[in-house]
Amino acid sequence: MTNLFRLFAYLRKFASFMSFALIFLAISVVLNLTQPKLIEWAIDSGITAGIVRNLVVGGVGIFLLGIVGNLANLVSGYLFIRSGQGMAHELRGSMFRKVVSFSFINFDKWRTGELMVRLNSDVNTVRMFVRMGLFMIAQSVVMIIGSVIFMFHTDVRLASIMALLMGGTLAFSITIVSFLRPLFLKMRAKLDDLNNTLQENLAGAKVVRAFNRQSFEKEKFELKNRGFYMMAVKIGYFFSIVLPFMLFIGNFAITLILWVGGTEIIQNYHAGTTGFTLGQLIAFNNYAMMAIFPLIMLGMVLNFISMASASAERIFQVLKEKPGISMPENPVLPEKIRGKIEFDGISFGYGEGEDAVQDVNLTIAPGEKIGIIGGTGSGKSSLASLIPRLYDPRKGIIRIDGVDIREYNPIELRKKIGIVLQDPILFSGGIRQNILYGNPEGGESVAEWAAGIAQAMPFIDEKGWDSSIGERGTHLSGGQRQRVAIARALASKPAILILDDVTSSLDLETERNVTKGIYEKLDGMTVLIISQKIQTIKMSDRIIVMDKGRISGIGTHDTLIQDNEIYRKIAETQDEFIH
Amino acid sequence: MSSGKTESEQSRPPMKRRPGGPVRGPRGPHNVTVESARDFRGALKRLLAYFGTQKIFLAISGFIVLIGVILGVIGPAVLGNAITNYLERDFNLTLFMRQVFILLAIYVSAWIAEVGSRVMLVKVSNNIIFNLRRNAFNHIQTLSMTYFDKEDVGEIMSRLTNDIEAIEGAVSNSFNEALRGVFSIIGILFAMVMLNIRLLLIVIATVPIMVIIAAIIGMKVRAAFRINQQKVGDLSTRIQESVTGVKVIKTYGREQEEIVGFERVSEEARDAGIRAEFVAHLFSPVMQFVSSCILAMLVGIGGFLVLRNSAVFSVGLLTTFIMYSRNFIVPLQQITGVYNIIQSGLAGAERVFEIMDTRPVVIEGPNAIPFRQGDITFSDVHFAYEKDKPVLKGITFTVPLGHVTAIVGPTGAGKTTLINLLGRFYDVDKGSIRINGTDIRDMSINTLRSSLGVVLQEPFFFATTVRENLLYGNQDATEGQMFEAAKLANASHFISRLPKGYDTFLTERGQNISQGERQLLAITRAILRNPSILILDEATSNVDSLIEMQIQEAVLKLMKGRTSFIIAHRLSTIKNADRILVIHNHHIIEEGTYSELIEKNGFYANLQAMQQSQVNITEDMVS
Repeated sequence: MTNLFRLFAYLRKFASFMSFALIFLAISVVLNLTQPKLIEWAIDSGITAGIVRNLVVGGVGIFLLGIVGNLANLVSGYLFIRSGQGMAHELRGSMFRKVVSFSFINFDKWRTGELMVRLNSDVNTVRMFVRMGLFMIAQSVVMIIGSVIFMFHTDVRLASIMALLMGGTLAFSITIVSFLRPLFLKMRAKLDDLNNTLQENLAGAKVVRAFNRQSFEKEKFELKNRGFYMMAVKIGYFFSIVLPFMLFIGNFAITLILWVGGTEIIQNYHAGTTGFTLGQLIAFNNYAMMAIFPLIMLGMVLNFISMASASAERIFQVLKEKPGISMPENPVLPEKIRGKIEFDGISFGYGEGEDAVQDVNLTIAPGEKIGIIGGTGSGKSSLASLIPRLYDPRKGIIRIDGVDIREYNPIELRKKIGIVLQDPILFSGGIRQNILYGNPEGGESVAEWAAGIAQAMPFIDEKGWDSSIGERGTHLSGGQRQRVAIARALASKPAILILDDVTSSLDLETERNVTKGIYEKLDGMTVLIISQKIQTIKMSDRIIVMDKGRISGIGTHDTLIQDNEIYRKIAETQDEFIH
Repeated sequence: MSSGKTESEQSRPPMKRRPGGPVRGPRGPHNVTVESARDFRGALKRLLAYFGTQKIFLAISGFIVLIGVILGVIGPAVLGNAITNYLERDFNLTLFMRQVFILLAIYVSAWIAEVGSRVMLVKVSNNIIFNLRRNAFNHIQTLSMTYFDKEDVGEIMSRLTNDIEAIEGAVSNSFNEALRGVFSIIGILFAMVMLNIRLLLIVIATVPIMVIIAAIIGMKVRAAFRINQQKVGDLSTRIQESVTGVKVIKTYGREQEEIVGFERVSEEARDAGIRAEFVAHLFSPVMQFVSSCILAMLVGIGGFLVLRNSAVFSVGLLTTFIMYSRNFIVPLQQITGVYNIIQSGLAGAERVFEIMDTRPVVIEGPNAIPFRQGDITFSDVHFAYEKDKPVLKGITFTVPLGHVTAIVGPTGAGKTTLINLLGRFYDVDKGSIRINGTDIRDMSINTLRSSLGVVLQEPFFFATTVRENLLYGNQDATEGQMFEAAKLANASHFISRLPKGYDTFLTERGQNISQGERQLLAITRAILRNPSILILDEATSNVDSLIEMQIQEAVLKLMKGRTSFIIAHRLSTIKNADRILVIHNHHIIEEGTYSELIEKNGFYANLQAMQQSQVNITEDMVS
């Protein structure tokens, strides 16, 4: 609930909109409620009294009330809609800025799917709450209060009966909804279960066929399908009984009014006294038709509150998250980076457990070409990811060109460092657009130069520079995606280039050409290539062998083969092919 | 069986993506989907066929709805009558009370009728959805891999979830509501005709205005929502891309540009949303206004008529008409809403039926004979995934029983395809594959695949325990056999280190264990099947060297006594293969044992030399 109130902070910008929306809504409801009063007056002082003029006045009055009331409703609706959409836009913007400010530590905690749901459907739920929920709550509340006042003004006894009935309806409606909510959650869970089974079956289509398990899969699905069916039928029955009952309450109220009011009119007639009039009866009849429905709706809307409140909570969880890496107070702008990198006593870990990188000391000269090799979990990628401050080390200092990297403006620093991660992610659009992502002003020549080194030209020539590569590059093969990602890093003309095992999907020859180009054509650029394959990094000026988070050896291929046990072992397994 | 492709997965164009993508907002009156079925009647007819034996229930339900509507129409007439007769003319309390009880009885009956018709429909509609889901799922199980290559899993998924939910929306209540709405309008019109023509004219006079307004607003709503949906789709695409690519955004320091771009898309979505919601919002106040007009005229003109001719007109009659005019507008509003739901339900049905109309390419012949092991012969095999892009051309070779065949060649040469054909995941376009002299297309697919043990390049696991995943290929295996297999595959060591051993839950696709470990599990799973033909597809790419050795060891043990196919770059087992097939440019360009191929000094020897030149120093060291 508190989260829902925090939402109002985002509505503050629309405070004037919202207040006018509420005022207009109140006007519209009150005018609507005046209609039965006019009907009463037209009947009693027009028809019963036999005065035609009053009838005309009544008719015109109802007509005017209709115009003004519904105009007010229109304006109010518009203001609610604008506020809701405006708030959704603000929330999305805040969340997006927050997500973009996240460091990699934050991303290890948040799954992308989670973030997407929050930016999309949670914001929508909250928006619908403002648009429909607040609107209906306000409308119902004004309607209930207004109609009770109007009814008491008309006849106290009938009004008391109606007030009782209305209170009962509201209580009933709320009870039903709170009873239904867990059922709905259960049904939703069954449906998710069903859909997960489906998703797995589709994703594992080949395994299902290879292992010949179609009938098993059918049984599994049948079971889940049946489970959902049972739940859906149960809820369906419940609704079948409850919904018509709610409508019945309205009709019951009408009957009750006729009975009580009619009896009084007849008794008054026989006693010759005046009191309850026919016009008042008709007015009550109209109130009953108008007031019961919003009560039913109010019960439903209250259910909305808990949904919206859950969504609001999920939204604020994102907004509350603290970025793992923050901007220094007086950031140094990395103007001209030469590319000297020093690791000074660096230890780093991802939360609990053993550190992924332990006490690393290393200096890399500007323009040096470094290869890093080691088994999975040896800390190669972790070490490299510290350079552009994707993570901060737990201990020690990293300097680039002699300056502690924590003193640089991290965004500007990253622009000077090209890092290609293991799983290359591309954006929809053309190949050119993707390659020039980090350097949009680069132009044709840069794109071609980068694509040339990345060995991407053959397939670019075939597909064309501007052909769409599909969402996340799905129209390209894995190897093609890797080459575009490499070209993208090159095109941003970084001072330091880091390639994290990005040639795994390339065939031997292509891979060799890519590495050759990188070693030979990037004069002055500091390059770190991470790989599990010796042949990829063999030509490096220096090779760093990582093992269990530590540097186990530094040297050239030739020296390492001789002095480094781990390196030699890796070489042995990889060269077996030759014999 | 002929190899010709009938009206099949291949000849159909790929499924069209629906606008807006798979991300959908919560359902509600303001999320009107504007899509409609291409063939409204066709889809309706097929969907109705699903009602099948339940048509009787449906008819009964419809009949009860009719009764309920009639009762609902009679109600206001009885009420008006009571007022006219006993509150205006003859003030008889006893007769009045009788009328009140009749009215109450009518409303109670109407309630019961409504409950009855709804209860009837619950089972009917849920049965339909249940069957639809089952049929679609079961049908997909019969489809071959071609289908999954062509269609995006997300798209199939969306059809079986979103579309079926849309159908559910249509069948569960909407048919009922539409029926009720139409009945109500007819019933009220009829009652008004019977009661008083002149008052009817007052109400009716506004109908054309209402219909025109409804039509205009409806059109505008449709147009506005189409734009809105597109913008919302753009927004969710943008969100998806930015969030999945946020690491790239950060590594390139492009945060500011992305924020600006996002704000723009978000603003567009906001403006389109405001427009669409407002146009939709117009409906209710406008209709309310028309209703006020009717009310004003009933009171003004109707009241005047009562004064002039109180024998025919009365306050009670006016009351009846006021109630009718209110009841008249509600169904009119409902029908427009329901129409949209039914439309999108039918559009969904069309897409689901499209799946069910897809015929499997790989089908079992009528007189399929069981698999019997023996020599495997490929003769003149041609195959293409897409027309005009041949992958294999005229592949011919024979593998004697129990031999190990290695398949090598550059990426994309068709190595995996060869194996896909052997398992009949696809059928050859031309030529044949025979095992023990029998064309595999004449074999029972079940027995053929049961005899295969496949370890795929990227092994897939289900989100369940290690144990259940291992037993996936052989439910009958004992616990002991499973341990044995895991040991043989060098997997038992790492499994025992998992938090709950064999009962550890694997997350979706087994992402919580390393790639090498996934391979070991996949090999264990294959061993447990005790297959007579073993297929290993690049089982060791992208795995670190130590685990690769373990995998190789496991593979060697597994191959003993089985006809085996290995696709790999640098497995030592290739050396020991009885024969190596080198595939390049759709053909087998070389074949022979390892030493024969090296001696031949052709393509394979060159490939070798290239690697050798890079590692010659190592070779010196090792040898």
